[in-house]
Amino acid sequence: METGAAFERYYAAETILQRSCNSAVEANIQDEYRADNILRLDVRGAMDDFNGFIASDMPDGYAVIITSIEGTESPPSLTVTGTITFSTLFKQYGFDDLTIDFTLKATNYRVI
Amino acid sequence: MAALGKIKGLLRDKKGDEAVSFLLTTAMLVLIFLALISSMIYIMQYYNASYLCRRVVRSIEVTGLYDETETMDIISGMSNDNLEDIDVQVDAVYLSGNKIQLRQAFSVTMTASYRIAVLRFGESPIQIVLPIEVKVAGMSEVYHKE
Repeated sequence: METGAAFERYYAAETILQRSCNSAVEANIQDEYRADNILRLDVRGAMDDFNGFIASDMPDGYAVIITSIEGTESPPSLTVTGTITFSTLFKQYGFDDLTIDFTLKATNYRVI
Repeated sequence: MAALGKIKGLLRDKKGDEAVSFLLTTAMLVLIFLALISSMIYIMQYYNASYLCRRVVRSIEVTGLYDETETMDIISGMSNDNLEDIDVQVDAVYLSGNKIQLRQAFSVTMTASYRIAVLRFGESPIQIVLPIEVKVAGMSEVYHKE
């Protein structure tokens, strides 16, 4: 049961991480270029939004460490790597917290 | 009178007492074990329902749309026969139609029931219907131009 609970906690965190990355790209596509069918990303804004979304959406009990965050203006893309750490019920018996590496990537394509 | 005396004698007789005690204890242990297995199966079904609900939420998140037909397709494609009367309620603020704006939160509540057959006498088993309710929150990842 604890294995299932740990998996659910990881899945919840993974969903929030991926959602934050996708939303940061989606929210920072520069609107003034859309009419010309050009997709350009405000990379600085996307990075700031990603950090803001993680800070606001990630529940207590998780420690997120971002090791690198890179973005490209065209094609609009954001890549984030880092680790996420959370504890399990077995911590009280001396087991270490679970630390899992992650790489997130969000790219915005124009669907023709 | 002789029969009554024989019964009284049998009741006083302690021979086989341990064997009867052993049989009753074994029967109780088997029942407890079966109850535990049934509980575990119910918990497994709860996890299944939880996973199913999260998949529905993820589908709405990445499309930014609540499409009832697509939701029911996901459920019918992934649910097993043990979950019955599956119902999905989506609580969201829509931008227009079924569109949910970027970063707009919504929640999906899935209700279902699971039957445990306690005893089976021929074609009419005695069953307990246990409810399952899962609520998962999500957030749209799609920007809809207003």
